[in-house]
Amino acid sequence: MMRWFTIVLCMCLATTTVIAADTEITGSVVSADGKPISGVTVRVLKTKLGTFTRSKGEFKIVLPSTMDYTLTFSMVGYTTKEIAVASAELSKPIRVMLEQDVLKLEEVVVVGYGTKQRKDLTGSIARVDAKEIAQNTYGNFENAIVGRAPGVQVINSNGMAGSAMTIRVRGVGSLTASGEPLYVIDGVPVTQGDFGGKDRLATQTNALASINPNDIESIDILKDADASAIYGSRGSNGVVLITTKRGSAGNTKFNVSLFNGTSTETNRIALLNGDEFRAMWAEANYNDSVALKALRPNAKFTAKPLPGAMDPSLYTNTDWLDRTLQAGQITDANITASGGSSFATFFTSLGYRDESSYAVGNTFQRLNGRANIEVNATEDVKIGLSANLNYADNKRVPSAWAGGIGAAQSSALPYFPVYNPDGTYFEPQRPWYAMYNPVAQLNENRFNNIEQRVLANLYTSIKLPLNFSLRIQGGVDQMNFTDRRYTSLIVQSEAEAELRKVGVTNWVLNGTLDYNTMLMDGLTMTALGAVEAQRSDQLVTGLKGRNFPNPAFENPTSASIREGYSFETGFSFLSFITRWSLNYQDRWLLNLSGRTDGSSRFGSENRFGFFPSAGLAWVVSNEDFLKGNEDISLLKLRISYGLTGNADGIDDYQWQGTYKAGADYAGNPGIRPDRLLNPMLGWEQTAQLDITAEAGFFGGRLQATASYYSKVTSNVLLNVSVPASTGFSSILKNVGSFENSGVEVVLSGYPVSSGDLTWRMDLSVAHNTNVVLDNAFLPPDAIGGPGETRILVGYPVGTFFINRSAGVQSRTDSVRVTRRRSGNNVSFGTAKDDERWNAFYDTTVVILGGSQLFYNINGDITDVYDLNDRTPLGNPYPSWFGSFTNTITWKGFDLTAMVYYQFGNQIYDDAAKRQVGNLASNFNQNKELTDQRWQQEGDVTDVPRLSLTENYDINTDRFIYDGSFVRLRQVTLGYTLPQSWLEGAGFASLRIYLTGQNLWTWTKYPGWDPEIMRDQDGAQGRNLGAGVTYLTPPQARQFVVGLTAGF
Amino acid sequence: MTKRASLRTIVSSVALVATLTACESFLQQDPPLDISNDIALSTPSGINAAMIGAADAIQSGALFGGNTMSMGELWSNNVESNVGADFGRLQILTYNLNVFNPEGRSMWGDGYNVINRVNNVLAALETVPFADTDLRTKLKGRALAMRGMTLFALCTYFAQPWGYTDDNSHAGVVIRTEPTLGDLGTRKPRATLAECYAQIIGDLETAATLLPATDAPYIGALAAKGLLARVKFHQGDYAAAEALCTEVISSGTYALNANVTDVASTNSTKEVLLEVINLPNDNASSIVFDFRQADNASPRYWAGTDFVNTIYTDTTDKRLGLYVYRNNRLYVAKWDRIAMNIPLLRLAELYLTRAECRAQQGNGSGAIDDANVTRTRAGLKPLAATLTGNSLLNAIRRERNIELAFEGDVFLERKRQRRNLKQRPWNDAALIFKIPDIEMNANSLCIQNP
Repeated sequence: MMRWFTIVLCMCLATTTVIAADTEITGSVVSADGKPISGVTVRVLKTKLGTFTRSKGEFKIVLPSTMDYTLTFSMVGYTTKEIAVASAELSKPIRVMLEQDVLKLEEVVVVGYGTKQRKDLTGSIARVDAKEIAQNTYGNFENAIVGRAPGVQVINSNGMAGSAMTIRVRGVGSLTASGEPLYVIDGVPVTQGDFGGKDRLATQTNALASINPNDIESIDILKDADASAIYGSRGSNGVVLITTKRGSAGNTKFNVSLFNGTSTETNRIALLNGDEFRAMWAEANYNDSVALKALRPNAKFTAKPLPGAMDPSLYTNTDWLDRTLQAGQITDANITASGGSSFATFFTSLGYRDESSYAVGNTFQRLNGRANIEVNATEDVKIGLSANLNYADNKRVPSAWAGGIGAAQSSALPYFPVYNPDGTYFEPQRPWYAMYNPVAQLNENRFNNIEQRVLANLYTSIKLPLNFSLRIQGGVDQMNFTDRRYTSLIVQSEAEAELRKVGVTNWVLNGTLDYNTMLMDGLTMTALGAVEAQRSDQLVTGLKGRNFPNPAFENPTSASIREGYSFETGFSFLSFITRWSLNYQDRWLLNLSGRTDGSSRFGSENRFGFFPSAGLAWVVSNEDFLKGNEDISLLKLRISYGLTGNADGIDDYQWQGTYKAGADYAGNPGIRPDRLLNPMLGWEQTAQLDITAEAGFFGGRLQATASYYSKVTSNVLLNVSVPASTGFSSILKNVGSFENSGVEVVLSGYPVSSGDLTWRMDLSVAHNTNVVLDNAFLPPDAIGGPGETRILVGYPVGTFFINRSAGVQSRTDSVRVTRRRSGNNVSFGTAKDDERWNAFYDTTVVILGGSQLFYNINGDITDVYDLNDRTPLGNPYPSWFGSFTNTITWKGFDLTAMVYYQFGNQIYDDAAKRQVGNLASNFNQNKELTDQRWQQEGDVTDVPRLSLTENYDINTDRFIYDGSFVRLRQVTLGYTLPQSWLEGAGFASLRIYLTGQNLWTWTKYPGWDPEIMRDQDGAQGRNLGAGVTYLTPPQARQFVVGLTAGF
Repeated sequence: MTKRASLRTIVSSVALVATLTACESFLQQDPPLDISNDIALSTPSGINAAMIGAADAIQSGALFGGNTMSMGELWSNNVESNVGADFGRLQILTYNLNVFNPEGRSMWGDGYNVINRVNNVLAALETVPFADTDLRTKLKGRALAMRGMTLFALCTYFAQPWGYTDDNSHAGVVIRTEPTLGDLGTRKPRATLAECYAQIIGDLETAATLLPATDAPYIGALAAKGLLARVKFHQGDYAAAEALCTEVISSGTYALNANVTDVASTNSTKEVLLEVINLPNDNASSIVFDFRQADNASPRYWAGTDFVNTIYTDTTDKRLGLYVYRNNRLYVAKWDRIAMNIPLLRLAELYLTRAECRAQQGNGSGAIDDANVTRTRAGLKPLAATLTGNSLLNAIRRERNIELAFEGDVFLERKRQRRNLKQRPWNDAALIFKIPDIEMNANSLCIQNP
């Protein structure tokens, strides 16, 4: 189809040019290996003349007159070439060689401990390059990966500035341990994660947010075992390799990029106003009086008063969301200089970002400096230094359950005023939620994190005789994190302040020996051996204070009651690495790698683990029978298998049997046994199979990649019960298992590529299935996540374990219901207990209209909510996700539009049980959903009648929603000014652009935003909680205008 | 690059590799905040600290900080209650116990915490050299006494009482005498009750030979003997119990307080042989939270009708000063101080135990003398010297019920006397906890209570 299109286009162009036959120029176009290329656009500059090359790469253009011409040769997948032809030379056929630059076919990708050409890969690596990274306007580089790495799910926790990211490479990689990939920046595994203290403010921090995305040349994500086994015990969750920009010899280039924009929430939910809330409160009281009369006709009904016990004259309509949300501002500026000579090259950069999010009081400022310098000390010795200084200041505000916009949606009721008549903050009568007045909280409390981080590494690479080369590298990642918190006297009964410092010193030292040789004709081999040592030490110190002599003090030292604390932890790795790659005539590729990892985290009897992998590829298109085929330019089949581990999930020292202090008695200090010895404790192990076919058609104009993978993770870390009579409850052991398997398909092509117009389309589809195979027979409630998520055999990780709603009784009537003989609301126990508690009987009872009914474990209707009736339902992770990107360039204009989608996941809205027709929670209500409530006899709905006495604060599948969404993730429209305009102005290039992110969303999810991750402390919560929200803030929508200029 | 230079490079890189390889110690890191088992118990002071840690476990509210006394009261006729939605206590009141009962779970778990901590100490005492051999002897005695008293509490709450089967071959609890170091071989069946009692008695008897007579704030030999008297009395071994009581009483070390209320108002009175020390930060005395009525608190427990009728038969009883009548309820003021020390064994109990022992063995006048000790202090008339047989026993038991009320004694006593607890016979399956899930889930050798 596309080919036909090309031919037609070709003919059109041809007809226009064969008119006047004066002079003609002929020639042929070949690729670097001498093969003719057909379909190359040949244009004669400063004329309208042009043509395409024919099947043997030949072209002929008739020229109107004999003079000097300049010809351009362009072809998708090849670097455009300009050739000047003097008038005297016109009669000679010219031969032009084009270098391939096709759809990532020939690009160099970063693999662990080296680089490879993509064509030589036997494993699956996704790459995001600087150009793509530059399109991201969010403050962290992880956001640049969204939609650009097939099979990699990047979850932005929320749209707050500085908040945490979660990345899942080919499905969730662990149960209770970390599911995040390993991040390696320029060869140094870096400190990652949240250092902001436990569950504070209901959001997490992101230590990697201090990295400047503008410094990054490429992000390579190692997805399968062939690629990631070189990272051994830390490869299972995938590896994100970040390579920063380098200079190249030549004139010094300066580059300035600037953008400025706004940030708002993607969506806002309609809540009740004060009058509506009070009217519903009255309705609830009325319903309760009717219910009481039905039960006890002579009983006296007492209406429940409105929460807050306030003077009715103060009732008002406050839109708390208006008071806590704003239009945020973003300013981002970068200046870089790069260049060098044959002796040395350099890249230096300075970056600044100042962002305020849509949440009032939430800001993120960042300042970055970098110098990457490489010196050719001798002909054989290179010495390089990368130094990177980062400073990030994140002013944080509470959300969700901790207040701020979370309170504005919930406990700050709409009839509360912000201020009292005397100007002080309004405060309803206690006891009450601490977050009664989010405006007071946001104005009076302070919480900020400052991250100072130095990333530096020094390396030398030495060419040795006999095709050996040696590289020695030492890197340091020093992160200092300061946490300041102040809670005002105005918000709680006693002011509190805390100062907390976290220091993480992380160093790595490695030596790599490379060797390459030709073993026989057509068979080449490259080999690598490396040794690496890494150590990381963390020290936390803090001081808390309360009770201040003067409210102006906001530091804990000035408090009268002070409490200091400290915490230390650390780990080390020692690794031996090897990789052997064989290439037979570019037709057969074999890659063998292995890493032996030792870690202080592994038990004394299990200190070293070995992680091998093997990958085999057959490049069918290089076989004789396909060579020179015009339609199929690439066909490559590859298969790989290998073992990787996950050791970053193990807390330090877990294998050791230890005693803890603090078991004091009668004022004497005592110790107690804390942990059981497990000398066999080790990594979680993943065995991954990857089968991939890559194909390129029409000279790289269309490329398709399809992968199947299966990842079985075993030896999963679980806290396994030991008999309590041992004096312990559990021991951390490698016991469980689960599986991820899936398919990834990527299609990239150029529907149009002619002259000034290029249109590129990229479609990626990833399908993943996750199932727990073994949870060590732990009872369902042993491993729980937020929002009733569990780990149950036969179900996906984080499935919701929840009661099923059987709807709402439409009319008051006698109904036959099933009840349990034993009314105990208890959990599963032994088989015998199950038998006892699962004995049922049928009975007929009068059910009032508007009452909530349930299904019991057998699917019978019951009026009693019982935790024994919980059923596993739903999946927090999407079964299908991917992106569809269109990039169109026309003359100087460029337009990129990316749609990101995911399907098949469910969201459990843990707050909906308090926000959909449940006034008794004292929360404001979701207006749209609460309007669907039962109001009168005969109403058919699934939202029960309003009540202040019925307990609707219960988990049912009523609050499990389809979490599928399609989102216009990013649109960029740019214009690159023509060279001719710039020449006088001293610019080498100038581009201006507009970018919008998260512009439009399609979803059935009725909450704020379907793209969520309930921010939880700890890996387990994050593995399980990907589909759970509790007043989680929405994503940010950004509009920016920017420019990049080169000098 | 010259050949020499490259040789040098290769040699130095080989050296680098060798250095790293040699450094397996590089991978051995010790936790900065904890200490490993070997180091923890390698010195006498370390073992002493571990012994303090065992006493800390004894102090738990789920154990001797309260529940070993108050749970039995809840089952008995002494107490009426409003436990609200507290499902653990509701299960006791509705005789519908399951493996998840939080009170059963925490008592079992904390009880075995004590036992494991003590076993660690006992094992270390065998290997670590002590310059101060007196300290070693004392630590061993203390450890054995703690194990004995904890095992007795666990048997009381998780096993049918002594005499449930003729030879006491019914299930007791799991006996552990070795420290738990790993998770291998941790499954173990329950011993018979006879075996458990042999262990308890052995531990307490040995402890009594090793300990000094008194050793506050820890257990002394006299207190160990007092506890042993309690065990023997429960077994119906009246001669042995009498002898032990006599030994303690005649030592003269302890004496009854002058006022009946002193034990409630003051810590460490001279009447108390053994108490759990509570400091303001410990927050461990759960029994106080069950009963405390001071400051107009509304406690969960108050005196039941049976008990009210018993104590009000003589309104001159000074022990009525330990109760407060309010809201139509008789609140208990024995446990009224936050962070009070919890008396575990009082001299009064030994007099009353000896009184019944003597009565059981036909020494009526001795029995009456003993029973009159607490009666006199309570301002009551002495018992008539003419009392004999069942009427004497009943009088002593009535006195015992009042004197030791709400201190957990009633639970053992009713079972020993084969009397109902409320409507349930003494050997009813619902009068003990189930073996909790935290044991059953991981110990397939452990059988459940029916």
